[in-house]
Amino acid sequence: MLSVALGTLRARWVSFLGTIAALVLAVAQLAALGVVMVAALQPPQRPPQRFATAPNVVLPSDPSWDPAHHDLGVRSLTEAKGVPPTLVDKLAGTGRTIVDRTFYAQLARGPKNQVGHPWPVARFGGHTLRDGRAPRTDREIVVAAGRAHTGERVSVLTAAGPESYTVVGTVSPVDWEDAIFFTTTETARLSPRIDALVALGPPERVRAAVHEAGDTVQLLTGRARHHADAAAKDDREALDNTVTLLPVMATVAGTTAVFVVASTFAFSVVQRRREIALLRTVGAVGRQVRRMIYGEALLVGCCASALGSLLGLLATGPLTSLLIRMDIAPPWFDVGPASASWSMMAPLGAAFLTGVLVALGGAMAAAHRASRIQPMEALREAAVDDSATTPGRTVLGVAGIAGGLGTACWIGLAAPRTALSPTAYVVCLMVPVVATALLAPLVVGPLVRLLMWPLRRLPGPHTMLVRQSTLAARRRTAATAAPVLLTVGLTLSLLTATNSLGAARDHGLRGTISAPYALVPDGTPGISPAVAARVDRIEGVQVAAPVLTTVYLPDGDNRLEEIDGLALEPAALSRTMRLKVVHGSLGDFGDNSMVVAEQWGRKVGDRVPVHLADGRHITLKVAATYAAPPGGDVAYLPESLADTGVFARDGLARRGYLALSPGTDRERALTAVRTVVEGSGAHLTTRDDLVTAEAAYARQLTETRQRSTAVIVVLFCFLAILNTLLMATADRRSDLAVLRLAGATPRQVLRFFVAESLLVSAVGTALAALAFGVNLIGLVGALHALFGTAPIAVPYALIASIAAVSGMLAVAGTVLPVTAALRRRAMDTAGDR
Amino acid sequence: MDDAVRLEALTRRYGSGKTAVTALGPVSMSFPRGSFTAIMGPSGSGKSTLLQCAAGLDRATSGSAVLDGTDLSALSETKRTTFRREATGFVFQAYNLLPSLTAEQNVALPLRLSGRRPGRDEVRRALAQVGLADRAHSRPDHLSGGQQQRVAVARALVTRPAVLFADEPTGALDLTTGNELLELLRDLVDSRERGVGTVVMVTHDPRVAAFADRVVFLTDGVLAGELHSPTAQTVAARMSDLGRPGPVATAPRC
Repeated sequence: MLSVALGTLRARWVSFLGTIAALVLAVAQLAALGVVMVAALQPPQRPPQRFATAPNVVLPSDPSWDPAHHDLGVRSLTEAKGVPPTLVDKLAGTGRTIVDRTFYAQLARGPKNQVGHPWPVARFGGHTLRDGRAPRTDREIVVAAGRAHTGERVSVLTAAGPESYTVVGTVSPVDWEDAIFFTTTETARLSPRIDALVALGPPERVRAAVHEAGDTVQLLTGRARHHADAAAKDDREALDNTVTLLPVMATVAGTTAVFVVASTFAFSVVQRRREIALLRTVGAVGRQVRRMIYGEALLVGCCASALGSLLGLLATGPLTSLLIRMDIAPPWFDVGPASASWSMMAPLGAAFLTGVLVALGGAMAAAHRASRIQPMEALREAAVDDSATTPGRTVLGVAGIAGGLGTACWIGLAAPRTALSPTAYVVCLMVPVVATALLAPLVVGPLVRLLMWPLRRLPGPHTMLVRQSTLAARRRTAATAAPVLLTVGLTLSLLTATNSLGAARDHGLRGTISAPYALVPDGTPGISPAVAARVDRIEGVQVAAPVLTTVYLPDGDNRLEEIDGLALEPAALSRTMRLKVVHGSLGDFGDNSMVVAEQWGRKVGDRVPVHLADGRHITLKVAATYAAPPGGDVAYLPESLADTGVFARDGLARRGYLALSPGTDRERALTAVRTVVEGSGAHLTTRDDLVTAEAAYARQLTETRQRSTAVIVVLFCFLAILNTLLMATADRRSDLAVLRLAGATPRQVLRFFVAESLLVSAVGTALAALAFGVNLIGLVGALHALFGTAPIAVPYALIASIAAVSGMLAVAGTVLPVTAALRRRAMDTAGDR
Repeated sequence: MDDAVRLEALTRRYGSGKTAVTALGPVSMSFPRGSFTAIMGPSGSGKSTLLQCAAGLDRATSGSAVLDGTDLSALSETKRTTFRREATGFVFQAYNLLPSLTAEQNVALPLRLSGRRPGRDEVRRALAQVGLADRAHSRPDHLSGGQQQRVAVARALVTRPAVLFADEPTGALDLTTGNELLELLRDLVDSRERGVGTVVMVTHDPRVAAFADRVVFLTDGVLAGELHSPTAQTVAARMSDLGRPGPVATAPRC
């Protein structure tokens, strides 16, 4: 039977190529995304850098701490505490030891990723002096050549504030860090935490000492010394965006691809109705028809999927460079056929298998219908597709509506936090869109009548012809409108959700700050509390610059839960911020208490045992609980805990809120503030500028993500639109011939087909709006629940242009085959089927 | 077992409930082996429906059609299809060839569908029988209408069916080609060694009907008489009688 199928290829090559093209492209994008995703999960193999020539390196460690499960930048408690001083003393007995500390230290106007180290560890990383000498006093430093000259006096920003040092030597720059070297005693003052210890004594004695200390420390030798490098964390941090984004991209692209391929295969079977009916008259039984279609789908599926996988592997290169260009992946991230490894076989195989299964699945439903075609249908002259509503389709459509509405309501009412998870929410947004596509054959009829109603008085035959021909072939109309629906529906839902979430977040941020001015980092990772204190001393100016730290709360399960904390003067909290207090009062917030997010489930008056990053244990009373905006749940801690910031984080404040006392001369005070913060890594701004800047940052991140997702989906969908329209129109040569024979000029025929494809795009866009409406229910509900407000921001211009391009592609997909067919004589075409 | 086809109280209704339309029947009649029967009647008289039900292409609503000793009404859709594939051949007015297959491939199709590897000779013989041995590799669009219809006949003959059904086989052909085709059908009945002995044909043309041994007339789905050894004139006279209102003598032979 397969030979019969292959024998009939000549008559339907456009449709055949269409299915192949759809499948190849779908599998290729799945394969490429899969391979890049696998590559992103494997951090690059690098040799040890900072301790390349150190024999034994001791690091604090927590075996139960998996960095993948914690936010970037958060240290485990053992890491925050550093190498225990008792162990340092004990190891000193085994031989010479050199202490390493890593902390924030930035030359004024230097890059913000500069770090400070004690000079003695420099040699283990291969740093050698290019000129000058090693630092001898605490006011002397060595920097990388090019950052400053030997003999120069420079200002260095640390958590302790800007201080002045003399450069006494330079080392050759290395590509893995940009360090400032201090004396050992100076580093101990700036950063009390011991990050690592190099032990030069006999290895067995070192090992024994470390072993005795238990599992809070680990001994690194050989390649494992790479774990002590900043690169180990930096690589993960650099790939963090890639790792977050790719699953979202793959989900959206995968669902789109699966849907488009399945519907393309189904459509190609629908198009072969007459051929199948002829086979049935000649005596083919249903099973034979099904076997023929399966066989062909399997063959096409395997060939196209194999080609697609190969193409996908080749496409990893361009995809990676796209990710790098969009700043989603770090520049060193390199995936391509050249770096192919066995681990890439899994995503390639998965993409191949998906392709074959989807091809079979798409053909299956259609084959089932096709095998039941009555032989007599072949004898009917006018081949109108079976647009009747079958029970199966009604069930599917109703299930689609229920599923879509159900998902939207579930998000809006029961699980608003879903809207904050990029992967889960994107999937939820797609449900109504795909459901609408399933429902399309049912609603095409009323929709076409509705869309054509305003045009009913137009003279000329086109309105009537277009209306009737789309109504007579509802399945074709639905199949050709589906890619338009997907393109417009997905982008509309996705981009509106992103924009609205961003707008709601801005609104929330603006609402929580009551201070009119703010200090923000100026080319630095944060603001030193010392700088904030200096500003606070200006007459009439009050500053609250909460230092970011981490506190560790026992979660009752013998484990510690880490919580972001902001340490600030209790009185400043109510003066500069507007927390939505749920229980308790900010007035009770004092030296031994804290204010926590309501969602953590702690009650006012609870006495909570807290582990601090510097190793202390204290008990804090819950003074008040507040309603935290999504992603903004932090504990407000007394200012006395600010010094744990250098253990837990970098000891800096992320921003400062600045208010003026009543009666202060505004201009004079602000000028004084500007003078004080000059050159200290902070600058003065207004609250509105702060919100705008923060929003711009967050928006840039999410927009890059969504845009790259949208780009991939839209590109594929655009191809799908062109493909489907080409398939559908090439199949309609007999319609065209009949029109010509009835006296239509070629121009009229062309106009009819163009009008029809425009109507189809309009149907697709209208369906997209319907799906968007369903998604809107969930979005409004979720935003209200999360932020208390729902500013819906639809990117009208972008959506309009996407809809316009979709329409243009639909027209192009029609005009090409029609003009080709018009070149032939009408009578020749009439016989074709 | 003398009858190649026997219809017993056969009816075919379309639709259901109040909108149901009876297209045919009840009709009882038989087509003996070795006979060439023409079925005639005005448009909508149910002649094509009768042919399709008798050939197993369509299913009777009630009554039965017995083809070559097998009651079609008792068979499932699949069984009916496999049975008719072996026992009948069908020729349509629109030749209904698959446009992308060559003449040879079209003829071999029923054999392939039966799961047989078509012998070259088998297919060639069927094509030779209709005088197209030299056009085996031509595609339908390179054949004239008459040639296409002859390929369709060859396709109908290739399984050596017990009965050949033809629905207006000359409808799309000119007079000369039409006559050639009818000679071919006549020949199939007269020379038994060629395999088929029975031909049942629907037509509205008295000259075409004159090639048959017997003409059966249908009006409004029921029998309206028959004519043995017809000539174009006698058939035409009878046809114009059928078109006339008023009682018509009906004497269906059972």
